[in-house]
Amino acid sequence: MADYRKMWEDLGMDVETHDQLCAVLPQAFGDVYLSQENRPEGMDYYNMVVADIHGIRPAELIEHQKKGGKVFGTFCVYVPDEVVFAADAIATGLCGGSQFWVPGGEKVLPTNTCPLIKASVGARIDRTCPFFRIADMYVGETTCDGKKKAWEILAEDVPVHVMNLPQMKRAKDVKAWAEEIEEFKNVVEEFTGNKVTAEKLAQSIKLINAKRRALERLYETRKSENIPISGCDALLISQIAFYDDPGRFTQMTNKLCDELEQRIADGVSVFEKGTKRIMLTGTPLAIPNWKLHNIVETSGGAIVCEEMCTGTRYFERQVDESRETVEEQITALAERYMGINCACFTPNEGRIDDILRLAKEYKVDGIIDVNLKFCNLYDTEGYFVERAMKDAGIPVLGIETDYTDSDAQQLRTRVSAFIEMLNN
Amino acid sequence: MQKTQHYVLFPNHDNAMRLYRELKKMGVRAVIAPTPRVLSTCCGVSLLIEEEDIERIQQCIKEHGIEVLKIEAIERDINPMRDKYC
Repeated sequence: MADYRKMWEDLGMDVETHDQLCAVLPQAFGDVYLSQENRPEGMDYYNMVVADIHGIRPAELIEHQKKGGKVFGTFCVYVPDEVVFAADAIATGLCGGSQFWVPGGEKVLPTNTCPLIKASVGARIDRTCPFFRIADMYVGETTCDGKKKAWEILAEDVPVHVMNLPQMKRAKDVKAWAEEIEEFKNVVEEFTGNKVTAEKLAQSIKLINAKRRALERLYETRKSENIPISGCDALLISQIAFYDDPGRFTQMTNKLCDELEQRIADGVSVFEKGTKRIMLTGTPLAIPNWKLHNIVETSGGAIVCEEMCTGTRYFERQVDESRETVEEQITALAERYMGINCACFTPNEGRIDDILRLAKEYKVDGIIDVNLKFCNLYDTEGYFVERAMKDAGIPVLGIETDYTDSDAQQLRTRVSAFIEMLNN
Repeated sequence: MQKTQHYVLFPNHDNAMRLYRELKKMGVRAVIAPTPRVLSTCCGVSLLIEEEDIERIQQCIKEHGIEVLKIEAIERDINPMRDKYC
């Protein structure tokens, strides 16, 4: 077996505690992924990424650092990776999706903080994730109160730059976000010692757009009547998109899409005909949070779309590639990113429009509005989401959950009843 | 459903990928998978293979000089209803 212990020790990790996470990953992955029948062969790439999740990519990032490159850790789909890559640096997602890290976060955060924030902080302060050790600078944003305070705690241990995301979507807010991106560019330039030129930014805009198009192509296959890939697999790909090398990820995802499109042409589906098509909407599902997808898909449903940060919010709409100056490119970035509809905005009717549109495009039979415990924003917005779905005649189930296994049986009961209701 | 599963274990992921590519060329079934805990305490890539293909796989390993630690059989322990996540 590849032994990364030395690398983890050199990163200052608590290797013994980290080993407990390594111990449970293969079984969980086997249960959710290797149990599936007729998985696309192209999923082998993503299997490999997960199998060596704390080895292969961290080693690549360290190599980049040895050559003088910097690594930026990000936590949100509003942070423009394009700026980081344009400075010959690497952006990597850092959101924690495991209960393993939650108790660490609870040492410094109130218990009634969402598990994503607790896991992310816990992974850093308990020194049990190589990505959190490697990132030279964390990039935070003001998408919720929990995160805003978490950045202050993390900043005592690691350099943190916080981007001030506007909370409304007026023209002046888009302009304000462009100014934030401009300031971020200056921070990145100073930190890396590399200038973000129009040429470099144009290249990185194309790089990240290509990744978005690959994901869009993947999701397009899920609109088919014959669904060529499970929701569990599509989720895994979305999760990996946040930290894999973008060029390689795009190449491998397009290769998988070739296979999926062939499956559609051949009438191959991973679900039985008539399986109810479910869309999830709500808070992000960071790796390795596979709980709800697995429960839905082993309870008679097929997940065909995620209106989530780990889903459509991440890839829909491209950044305009025709702008020529850095200033114009930054405006294009601001326009694209401000088009994402997150519950941190008021009002946020665009998200309701998105859900209704996606429900049609993916021909969904029912929607599950899933929110992480203590996410006040998404929980509150659930009022509008569920009302709009009822008005549109789309069955909806509201779920609040966290990273623990303790509610799995209860979730199975509720999800099974929901799908049974759709079947009748 | 088969009761045992066979895994090829490697010293590093490069050798795992080399064997994987060769097996794909030969049309031999192989799935890249995390190494089960009972087989190793390190995280890492292994190949899940079919028992009937072992002989061909061993031959392929020899022919291409691929470094392999061992081929092991374990009782199948995959249960999507277990609800033990990580």
